[in-house]
Amino acid sequence: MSSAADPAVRKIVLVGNPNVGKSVIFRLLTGSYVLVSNFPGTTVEISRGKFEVSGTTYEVVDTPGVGSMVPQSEDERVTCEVLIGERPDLIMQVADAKNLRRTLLVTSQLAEFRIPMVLVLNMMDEAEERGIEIDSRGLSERFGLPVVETVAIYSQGRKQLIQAIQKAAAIESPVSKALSDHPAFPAIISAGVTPALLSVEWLALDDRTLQHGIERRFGPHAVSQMQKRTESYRSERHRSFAKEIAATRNSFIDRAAVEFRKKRNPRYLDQPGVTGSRIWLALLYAGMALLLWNEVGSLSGLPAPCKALYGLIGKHFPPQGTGTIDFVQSILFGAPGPGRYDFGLVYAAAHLLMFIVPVVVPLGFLLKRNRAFVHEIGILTRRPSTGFPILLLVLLLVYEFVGYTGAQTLVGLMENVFFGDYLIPLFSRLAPSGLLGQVLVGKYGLISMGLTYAIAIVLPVVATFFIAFGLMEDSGYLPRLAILSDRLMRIMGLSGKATLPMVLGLGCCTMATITTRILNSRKERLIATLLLALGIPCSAQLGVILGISASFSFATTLAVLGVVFSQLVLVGYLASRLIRGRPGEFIFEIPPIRIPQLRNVMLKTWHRVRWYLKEAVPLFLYGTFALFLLDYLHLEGRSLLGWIERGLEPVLTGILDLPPQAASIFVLGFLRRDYGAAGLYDLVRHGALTAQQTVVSMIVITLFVPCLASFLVIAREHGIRRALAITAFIVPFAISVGGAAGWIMRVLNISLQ
Amino acid sequence: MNSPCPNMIPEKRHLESGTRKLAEEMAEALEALWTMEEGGISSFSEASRQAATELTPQLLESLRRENLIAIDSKGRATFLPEGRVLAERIIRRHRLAERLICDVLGSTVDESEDAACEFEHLLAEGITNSICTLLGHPRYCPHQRPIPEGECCRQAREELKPIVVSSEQLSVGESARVAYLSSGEQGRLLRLSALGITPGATIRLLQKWPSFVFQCDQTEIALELEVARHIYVWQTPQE
Repeated sequence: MSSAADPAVRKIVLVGNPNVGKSVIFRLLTGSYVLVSNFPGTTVEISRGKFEVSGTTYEVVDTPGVGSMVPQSEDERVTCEVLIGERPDLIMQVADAKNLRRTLLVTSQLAEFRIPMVLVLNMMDEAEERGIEIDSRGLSERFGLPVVETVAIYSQGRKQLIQAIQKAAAIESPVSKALSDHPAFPAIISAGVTPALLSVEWLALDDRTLQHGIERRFGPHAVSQMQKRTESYRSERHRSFAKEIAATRNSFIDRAAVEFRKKRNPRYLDQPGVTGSRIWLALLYAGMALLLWNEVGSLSGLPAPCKALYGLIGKHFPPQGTGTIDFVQSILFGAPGPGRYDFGLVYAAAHLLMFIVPVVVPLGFLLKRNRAFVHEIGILTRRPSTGFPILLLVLLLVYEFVGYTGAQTLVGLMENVFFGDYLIPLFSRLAPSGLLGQVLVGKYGLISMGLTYAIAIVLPVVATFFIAFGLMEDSGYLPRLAILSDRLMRIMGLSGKATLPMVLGLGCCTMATITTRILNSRKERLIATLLLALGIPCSAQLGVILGISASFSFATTLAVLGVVFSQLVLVGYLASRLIRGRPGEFIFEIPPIRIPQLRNVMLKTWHRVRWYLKEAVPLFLYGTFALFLLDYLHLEGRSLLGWIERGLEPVLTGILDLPPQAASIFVLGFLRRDYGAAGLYDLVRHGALTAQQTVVSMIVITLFVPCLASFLVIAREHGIRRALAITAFIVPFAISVGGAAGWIMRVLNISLQ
Repeated sequence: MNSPCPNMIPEKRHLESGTRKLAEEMAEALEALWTMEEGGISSFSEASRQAATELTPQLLESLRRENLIAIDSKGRATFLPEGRVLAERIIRRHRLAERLICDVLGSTVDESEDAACEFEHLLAEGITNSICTLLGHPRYCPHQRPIPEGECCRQAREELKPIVVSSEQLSVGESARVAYLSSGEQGRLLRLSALGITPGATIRLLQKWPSFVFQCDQTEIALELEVARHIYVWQTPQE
């Protein structure tokens, strides 16, 4: 906003349909990072960046995608507000080259702003592959604006973009032209609002926010004038001008889309078979069979190839004794000790080789080489008969990667070897033995607890999760889950579209809460936010649940996830009954399956990890220090922490049947969910909890309060009253569900071992 | 709401005994009673409060005399067979007219209400059926109230394929051109048309369960049944 006052800076707003690559173009122009994924609704807030060309500074604003400039959801409205409120110098419309009709709908609307425009036809490769040819010169001549063809994901076309920016010119709106003889037209134009026709449509929406936006810019008089004129037209002719505008627009773009687009046969259908595909396909099936065999084998007593391989390694390279710890040896083969696991890199490699590589490598090869296969995968993943088995397979792969490679191997390596055997002993020797030593490496030491939790336990889980998640995001798999889950979501008063924020919630609830903006109704947004706060575990929590289950049994995982899931459905069902309003409608665009760009996935993971380090690690340290103080300060012969433990005793021991040390997990959990999870992990590893108690505490910390950050986001998106109400509901609810689960297990004598 | 039309000419055959004025009022009363019955209201006092014109005791009495309705001791009215048939036809004409005006002529739901009142008295039984066929035998009026079935609907189900069908009736893999979107809700129309589903667009049904998936141009769009049901398409004739 500050730049609006600075005439030297020219402002460019990126606008376009969802999932066409606006953020990629933003990255290409400014070089600054924004999140890019293959599903509509990745960008829900605007981001800004700058670049400079031959002495001129440009500010670029990236906006959420719009189906039409007549907004139907919160994120679309954000884009309209930017255009009304910020008076950009240039609009750069980014478009999916293969969907010309939808592109031109937005073009015809943007033209009414009378701001110089550039049209960027992105994803030319996909259009070409599908046999679509676009007459971009014709388009450019007809509309009088520069048209640029790009494939932005390969960083092509920055030079052309910049040339086009310099050539951009305001264009005449084709719809205004077509309606210039319309009886209502002169009266509407004379109200002095630009865009005139769009404003008629906005006012017809009865959207307060947009109306205020226009009023701020053009004065309340202009708005009431327009309203009066459309109203009088309506009562005279019994017709709605807004609808006539929409109809004119539609007929215009229908004609234009036919005129400027040609279609041949898709190229991938011209050459269906690729040499060697059959072999890779066979390998893929073999890989899936191996995965399933290993999975069944490791969950039961049956023999499996993975066990044979582990046995072979164990026989030839027995783990080093505890006495003489050899660094290389323990990294490669792990080291035995109390509460330790197979975490050596060699075991990890063997595990990857047995579970993940046989499936992922042939899959990647086929996706890369055979377009017909990519097309086929798009169909198979959305059909229920194949879609559900594929979902199971994907979940298994993620479980093996995050739950084993991340939560077992990497956590084991970091916690036991780097921190346990080297860093902490090192700091213990270096640190003075007094109070400072206590602060750093004591029971609640900044290094021995804060950093260990943040870096050794949570970071590996979060990082592996983000890699797996990034691959799923970029492949376009996630939106297909929306198709499969729509019916289930309906029970909870949601639509399949809400699957996206829910799955994103596994990454981080805070971001996911903002993503609920893509939902169409207020009711749906509220329910989705409640469920996110209640029961969607974040990746670290999920990783801990998966990791802990390995030390007990698969049944523990099932018990925890089963209870949490059933509570989500139950609460969702009740909320959908209690919250007034219309349930969301399921109208959702499914993007094509694309091959994830490894570079983008790694970049995305890196930025997310960096974000984690920046946001979470300081909180971990503050929290640890607070715990240290609570433990250090004494009141009437008892530490403050002791008092808290005693205060929580009726709940902890009385209702939940947990040992008093568990109090610290809940204190940590208030600060950040993953922090609480790391604390739990630590307790379990030191054998402080039985299987039953573990299940109970995992249920409670999963359902427990939203962490501080997500509480603040809920307050921002829905108001402080709703945020407090949600918290006030969740805390007693979580404790009663945990208590009930524990009670049932005790009464039925379920040991879960 | 379905308020009765002041200037409706009912089927005269049944109402020859009355004057023209009376006939109009009686038709109006029948329509009101039908709407009340749908809404689960059965007492006169309530019905007359909600109807545009008063359901006067005289008017009801004349309906009863015509053997169209029966009135019990508590003042509740029930249709007699003849009255039900007559009311059903009136309602059918009215709601089909609304559908026609709303979908084909593109007026708003409220506008279609007024216009339907003027329009419906032009409709003879034969024309009513033609319009019903043209619209693909719609099941609901723009206010989402059911349209009574006509002979043409029953026939169409048995023998002929209607020209326009709801897209839920397409089979997987079939392509069709969109005829109209029957939902009166503006938001839904805008969302669909932003994705390319507008009258004239060609859509192909890719999947029906658990959600509907259509291909429209180069976009795949997932819809719930409730939305797909309201998309009416011209079915391409099949051999």
